[in-house]
Amino acid sequence: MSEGNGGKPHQDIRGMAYQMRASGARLITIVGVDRGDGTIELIYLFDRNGDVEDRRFVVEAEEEVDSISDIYAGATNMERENMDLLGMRFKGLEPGLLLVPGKSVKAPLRKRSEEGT
Amino acid sequence: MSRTTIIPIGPQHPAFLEPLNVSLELKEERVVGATLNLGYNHRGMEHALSLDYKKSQYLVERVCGICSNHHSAAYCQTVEAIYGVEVPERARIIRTITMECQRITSHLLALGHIAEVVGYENLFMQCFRERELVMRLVNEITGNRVHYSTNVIGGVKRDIDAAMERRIEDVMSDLRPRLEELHAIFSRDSTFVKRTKGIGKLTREQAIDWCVVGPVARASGVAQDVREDGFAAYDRVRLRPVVREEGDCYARTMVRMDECLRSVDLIEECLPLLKEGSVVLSVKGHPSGEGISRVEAPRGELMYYVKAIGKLQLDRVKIRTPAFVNVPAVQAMLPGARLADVPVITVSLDPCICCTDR
Amino acid sequence: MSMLTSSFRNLFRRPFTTSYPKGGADLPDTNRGRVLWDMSRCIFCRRCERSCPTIAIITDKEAKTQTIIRNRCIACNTCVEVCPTQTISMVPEYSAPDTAPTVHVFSVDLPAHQYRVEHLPRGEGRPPS
Repeated sequence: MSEGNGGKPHQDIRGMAYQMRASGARLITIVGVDRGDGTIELIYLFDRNGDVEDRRFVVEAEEEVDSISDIYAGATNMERENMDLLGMRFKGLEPGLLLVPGKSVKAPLRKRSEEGT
Repeated sequence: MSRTTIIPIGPQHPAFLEPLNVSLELKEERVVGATLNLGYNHRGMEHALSLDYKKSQYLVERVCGICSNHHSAAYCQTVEAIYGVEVPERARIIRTITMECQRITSHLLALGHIAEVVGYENLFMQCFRERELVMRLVNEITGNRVHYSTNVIGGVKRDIDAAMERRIEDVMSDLRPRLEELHAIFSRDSTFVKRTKGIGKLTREQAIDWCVVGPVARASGVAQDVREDGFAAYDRVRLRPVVREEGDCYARTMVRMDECLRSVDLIEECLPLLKEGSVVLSVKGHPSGEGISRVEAPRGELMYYVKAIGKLQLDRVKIRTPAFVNVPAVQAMLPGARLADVPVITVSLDPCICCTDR
Repeated sequence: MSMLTSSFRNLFRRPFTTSYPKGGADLPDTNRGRVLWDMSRCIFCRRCERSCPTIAIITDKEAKTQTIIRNRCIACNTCVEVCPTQTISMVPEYSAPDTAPTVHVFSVDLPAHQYRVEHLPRGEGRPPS
């Protein structure tokens, strides 16, 4: 695993995805990690000829992030999963993949002040 | 005729073992659009797993019942990577053997399932009869049939003794002709071939677009197999990934069938590698750091991301299961298919909703 | 070979299945079925209780009993491994099914590996929410 680029502005996400797609890399997944200070770290993991490469971005929790679902069709569900579990927003996508909006717990993986998990 | 009909398939459907809903848009008999709905089985595993990293090594197995050992192996590998320890070689070989045994059971389940959906109950029973041999073998090796609970952080719990080595050898030599018989039926039986050949095509370009992994990707000509990374003891054995170009239901089934036979080869190759030594390594202190690890589960690449903060709790556990990327690819396969072929196409992906929803 | 020849051969083979309740479940000796305590050795150190991943074990130091909630136990062998006095062991047979959650109580006044069967009210025995 490479060290990545330590959190570029999220406007670069689409450019990065285009580049990776052109180079023949396969998107493994998008990991969202709540950093506990109102920001979320998005880790885009790619497989390029058997090596894992990561690209990291830090976004505000309430910010609308560019979707890469038109570059990698498989990214749609990965982004929607982050929307459900972390309460993020991606441009042009609806939540409700795993949880029913309005009925389920809102953003269960978001850190809350009273509990440390 | 320009009106379309919407037909929901699932969440309860005789062809699906698990709750999954595909909403089909039909024009007469042809599918023109498909939407996948998930979440009927969501259990919040990623949250529960981060509560106690030691007890989680048993909970990860419960993510899925058919690739439980791969889940615990991937989780233990990730935590071992965070600790920075190297697992004893004997433990790595034992992990490889149990993982390959589970691959055979999982593939035979998938093969039996597709035979059943095609309408071939007889072949389904035959698949499950051969599967039972491996299930009983695994019960003897690890002490349980489904949730082996044999992988722990630092190695494996139970060693394989000389008598057990001979037993594995016997079962494998008994299993090989049985699998070859199944292989002959699957590859030549006209009923099966007519129902699957040319159905549910996924081209190479689509496979990359939908990020599919495992047998689904390999059946579409994408030669990717995480075992080539050489985790566990896969760097010590001769891997020959099965790759086919057609990308249809038949290709996906035959990739699984061929992989079953390759797994028997791999297990037989692993047995002479077993050298004396310990099987478990004790680790001290709580882990701290970030780790990513991948294993090749029966359905494809299984990835774990663990962020540990030096406490009993983990900061974040992320599981990218193979079914999570394979199942949505039905949306690319279904358009153009006939309604009667929808269950076959869906089942040919070997959907595991337990994995997908977690 | 086609399925037809295979099916014909199956007709003349012995059945693969066993008649389970009569014929036994064909479990190997190494199968992990359920946990048993030999209470004469127990030192009530609570290690099994603390290490149990599913909170299935309740150690009572005053009453000198070990209680296991069968529905919660996943037979993972952890309690057997952590026990400092080899009090706990695993037997291949599974515990019998029941209509209410079963609890096995091992106490010092019972012989080794013998237990008292108690029942929890229905709906009990679930992990705390």
